[in-house]
Amino acid sequence: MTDQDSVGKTTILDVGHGSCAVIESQGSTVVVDTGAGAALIEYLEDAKIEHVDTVVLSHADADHIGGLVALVASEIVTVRAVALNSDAAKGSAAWDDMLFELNDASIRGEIDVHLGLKAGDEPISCGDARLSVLGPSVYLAGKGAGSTDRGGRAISSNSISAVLLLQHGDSMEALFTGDLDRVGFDDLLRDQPEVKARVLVFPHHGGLPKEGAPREFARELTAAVCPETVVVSNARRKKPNNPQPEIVDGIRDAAPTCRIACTQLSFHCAPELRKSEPRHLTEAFASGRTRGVCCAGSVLLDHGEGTVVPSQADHQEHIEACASNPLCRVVADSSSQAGST
Amino acid sequence: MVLELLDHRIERVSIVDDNPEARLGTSFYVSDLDLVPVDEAGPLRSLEECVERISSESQAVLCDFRLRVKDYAGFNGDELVAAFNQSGVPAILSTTYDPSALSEIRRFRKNIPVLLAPNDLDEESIVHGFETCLREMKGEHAAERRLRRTLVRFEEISQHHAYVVVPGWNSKMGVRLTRSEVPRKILAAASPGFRCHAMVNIGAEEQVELYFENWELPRDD
Repeated sequence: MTDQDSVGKTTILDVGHGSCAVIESQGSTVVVDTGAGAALIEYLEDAKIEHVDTVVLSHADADHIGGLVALVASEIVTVRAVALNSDAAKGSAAWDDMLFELNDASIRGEIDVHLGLKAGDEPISCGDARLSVLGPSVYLAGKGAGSTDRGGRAISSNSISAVLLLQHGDSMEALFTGDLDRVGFDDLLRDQPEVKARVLVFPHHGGLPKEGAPREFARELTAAVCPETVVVSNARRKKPNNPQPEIVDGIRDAAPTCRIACTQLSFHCAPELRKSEPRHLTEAFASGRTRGVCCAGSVLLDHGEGTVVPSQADHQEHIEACASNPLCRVVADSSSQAGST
Repeated sequence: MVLELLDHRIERVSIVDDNPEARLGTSFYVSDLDLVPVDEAGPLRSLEECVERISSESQAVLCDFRLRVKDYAGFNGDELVAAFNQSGVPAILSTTYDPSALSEIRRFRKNIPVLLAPNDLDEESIVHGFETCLREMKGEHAAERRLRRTLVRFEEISQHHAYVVVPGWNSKMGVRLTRSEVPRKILAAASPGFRCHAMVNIGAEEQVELYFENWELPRDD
């Protein structure tokens, strides 16, 4: 592993059910979604990160924004800027609480709040990495959640998830997709034909999109991104029990041999929890660590080496020890690739 | 035998419980650790006397919550365990997790690092519990015990309780506090929807582990 401080890394945190990624490069830190609860602040404190340059919130769901409440109130970590889209359709207390804190911090001059994330915005810098906003389009962002798209389909909070491409030099490191759904994906591809990235953080924690055939959605998204690795930020829980098999099937349809790494052990893969001593986990904070429910745990992307940690080999060893029915297994039989492009 | 944990030597463990059968049951776990169980048959006089005496006789304590039973003690185990941990004697509190008990215990939770249900008491949990107490005495708090400044939103205030949400912990689960747990200045200002800040261990997994310190009024109040 190279010197992280000089080259940079992205940690896709195991926050349980939720999403959070921390990009660190040359002393700068940018956070994409904050999960819910204390996982992000635990990570930042453990990593001795006392300042976050920008927090980008893909959309208004509590499992993407909840951690910001603790972050804004923190006496240990400061935040310079937060970028998000407004969402008139989101009536949750979590959204209201977060906006309350942001408003308060903004009035006191502590945080710059940028309302409005859309394709074509100036990329967000993080050291020698940059985060480009590929979606939502001006059209979709302008219509907003609660409205309808050109096809008369409902635009939800998930539809307007910001889609963010992390680039380091010429390398398209990772694509963050929030809880992007069919409506948002169609909007994305209409204007952004190029969305390839080495790592795809799959939307909605590998759960079913509200509209459209899930397997087809997963196949088309994976085919468009063409990733080497798909990361699913999920929690080991019965409801929702993510990732959904149809989603994994769709990923496999498009990328039969790509690596699929879930942060926690799904009940689909491991109905019973076997006691294990995982040796593959990164040192980063992982919500599932103390309960022994990590699968890949927190996943680290090394910008310089282009590697993913834990390695596939180390992770596979853990899967074989813990998962009686791993959904991520590479399918040897090509006849199962129904409808692959 | 001696159990050495973080430079603390434990030979004798006092067992505090109004129920003699429960004390006996717990003593077996202590014996299985090759430590000496010290049976506190009671009655226990004052809190201060109890802490001083037991601290001079034993190096660790296992204590039940409900002690105000049949003149066994004039105080409950939460107060006693908190006093022991503050005085440098690792002490574990045992309780059945009934809601009224949990509300009472929260007042002292800052100094009760380990809460175990009777069914969860065994050799391993006892050793782990003592070690956790000793680590907190050194300022090494586990993630689920670290206090962090965070937003608290009041949902409802009744004659005896305040119902709050701690969004930084869980935006969907309400927490029931007794009015005595909330400073008067906060209660005076609070109404449904009122927001303020407090130090809360937002890394806690379960509501029963939550405790609140250093409440702050909003800055323009």
